Amino acid sequence: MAVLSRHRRLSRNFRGNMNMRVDLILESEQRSASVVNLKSVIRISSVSLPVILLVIVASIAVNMITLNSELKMLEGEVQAIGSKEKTAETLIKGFAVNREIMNELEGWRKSHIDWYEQLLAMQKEVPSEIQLSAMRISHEFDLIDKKIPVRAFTVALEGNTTGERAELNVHRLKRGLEDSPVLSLAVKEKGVEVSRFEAAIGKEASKDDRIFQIECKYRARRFE
Amino acid sequence: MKLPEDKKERTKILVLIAIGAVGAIYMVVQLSITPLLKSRLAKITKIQELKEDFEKARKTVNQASKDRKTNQETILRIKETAEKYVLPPRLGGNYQLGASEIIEKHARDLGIGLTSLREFSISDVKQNPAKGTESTFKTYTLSISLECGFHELVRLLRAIESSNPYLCITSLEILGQPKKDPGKHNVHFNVQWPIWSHRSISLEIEEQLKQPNLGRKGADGN
Repeated sequence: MAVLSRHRRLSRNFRGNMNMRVDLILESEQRSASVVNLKSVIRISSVSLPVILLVIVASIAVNMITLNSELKMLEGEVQAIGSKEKTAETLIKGFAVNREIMNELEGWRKSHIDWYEQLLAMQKEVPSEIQLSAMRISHEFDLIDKKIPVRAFTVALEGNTTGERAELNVHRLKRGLEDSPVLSLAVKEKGVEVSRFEAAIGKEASKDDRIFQIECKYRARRFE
Repeated sequence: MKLPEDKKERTKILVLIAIGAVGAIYMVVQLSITPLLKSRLAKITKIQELKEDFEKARKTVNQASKDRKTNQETILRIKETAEKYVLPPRLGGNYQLGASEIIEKHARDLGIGLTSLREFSISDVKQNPAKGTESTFKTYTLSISLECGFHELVRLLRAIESSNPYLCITSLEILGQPKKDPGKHNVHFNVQWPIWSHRSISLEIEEQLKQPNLGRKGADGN
């Protein structure tokens, strides 16, 4: 049947176009003309895949050997520097503690006020019409923002004056204290205020006698 | 071995071979390559950690060698300052004797008589609560009473304050006595010195000066 059909195709081609194609190979006998075929792919793969796998395993193994030696070397170096590090850490921590001690000690110097200078400066500002009866310096440790230790000083001056210009005299003293070059460096801005001004009471007190108190609040002096 | 002539049969066998090959490759990857890669990764991580450790240790050692000199200078400054200005205790932890001697000497030099000298307090210095550590210094306060003129008092305060910039006059009261003697006032004042909160701290400072490379005992938290 196959031979007969082929013969018919041949004769039709021969009669119609005067072309002739001879096809004598059975379909089962036909082979691909392509360079890449399934068989060659299987052959190449069966060799190349194991080789590739082997190369991968070998390269990893070589890499592991290198890593192992690097690891060993590093472990040795870390161990060697370990004891030095411990000594160094102790020294660094010790230095931090010592610095802290020095800062604390310096806090004492920084928070110190030379009161003899302040007293002399205050005395200069007292007008002759005023008689001071008492002076009090008080001090307390405080914390600014709940963390910075400071010394806070307050000076209270008590005195008396007399006459129509009594109030003016007290204001002169207040202004003098505010403007004093020595005091203004140490006293808070607007830290000088007259906290008391009233008529003097007592057997010997006259109608025009006045007693007063002026408070000077000093700037907080950091203790660290 | 030849493949069968029949196309279907051939395809079946090829599919089986392909499945077998994929399985074999999978097994090889699972059994040898994956464990090797895992172990490699672990080693790389370990190496990275060791490198970081080494770098950290190297930096610490370098920092320590930089700090060593400054630390020595700091210790020396602490020692010198403390020896001059921190009030030392006498036998039995008595501070009053030393403090009184200082004030009495200044008063004597100026020809000022003192009425009384008494211990006022030993107390802690208020410090930043966030620090959490005890303060290195405490305060020792001596209370002094005398009768003197204003300028005598100024001279006495100048002598006391100039001799030690670390002490502090924390309270002063000058009360005039116009009826008794207008030229002389009743004066009370408190002088505050720094004192070591523990004697062991100053001993440790001295110990550090002898062995500069060792740092402080207990500084490593032990």
